[in-house]
Amino acid sequence: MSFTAEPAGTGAVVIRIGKTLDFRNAADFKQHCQTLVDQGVHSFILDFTDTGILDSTGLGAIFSVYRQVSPLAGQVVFASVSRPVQVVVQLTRTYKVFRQFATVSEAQQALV
Amino acid sequence: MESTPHRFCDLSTLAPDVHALFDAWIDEATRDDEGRYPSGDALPGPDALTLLRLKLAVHEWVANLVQHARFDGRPPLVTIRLDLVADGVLCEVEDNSDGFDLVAILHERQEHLEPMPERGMGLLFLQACTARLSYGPLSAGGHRLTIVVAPEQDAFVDLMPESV
Repeated sequence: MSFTAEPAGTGAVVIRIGKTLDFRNAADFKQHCQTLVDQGVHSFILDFTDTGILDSTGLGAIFSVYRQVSPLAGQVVFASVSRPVQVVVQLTRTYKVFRQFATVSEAQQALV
Repeated sequence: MESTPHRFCDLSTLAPDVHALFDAWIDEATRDDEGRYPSGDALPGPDALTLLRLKLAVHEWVANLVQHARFDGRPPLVTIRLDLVADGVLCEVEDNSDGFDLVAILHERQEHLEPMPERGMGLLFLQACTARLSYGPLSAGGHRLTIVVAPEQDAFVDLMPESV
């Protein structure tokens, strides 16, 4: 359940979330993002293409990343949001904070 | 959709095992009698959104069990049963843990919920996803959670700061 980050411009990365972001791997996700923030990354594109579960602990980890980067003028955006993730986005109304894009490349263009 | 109980006794694989069960149910429920996937309003059973909410609700309960339940030395046993009812999809989750006061915890979480919290949202997710919810001890020991997830339910948990 490791996460990979691909550079997406200055200070931005794409993180492929994979099958799950939940209570089992949220701490790993948070640690991974912390390391990236320490390296100067301030904007995160989260790719939910293959994600079957985003739970409350996973969302909490995303909130944590958002709280870290927003004072640095950074962003957290969602891309290619799968239907199970969309259920959580609607349930929590987090679309008010996290912009959504149909594809990763659309998100990358918006962050340039 | 079946009402056969499914039993699980390994907490380390409970989450992926339950996901697999729900994915199979969702797959079955969204096909017609000939095994095809109809589109739009032609779905023969509960709609996919209802089933995804149900899966999320049960996932949150399973996460709570795995992380917090006390079994006092007993080998864990979790049983899940799913059925169609008049107002939606019913799911019963029984376990042999010591249990806890769900109503009190929900009340406490609601009272102290901060915007965009890092923890403490799971049971609120469960509550928001469900039209009906009950939890209590069984006469034979253990506890049972009963939830019904209904279509057309306007479910949400207010986690956003007032400024957005």
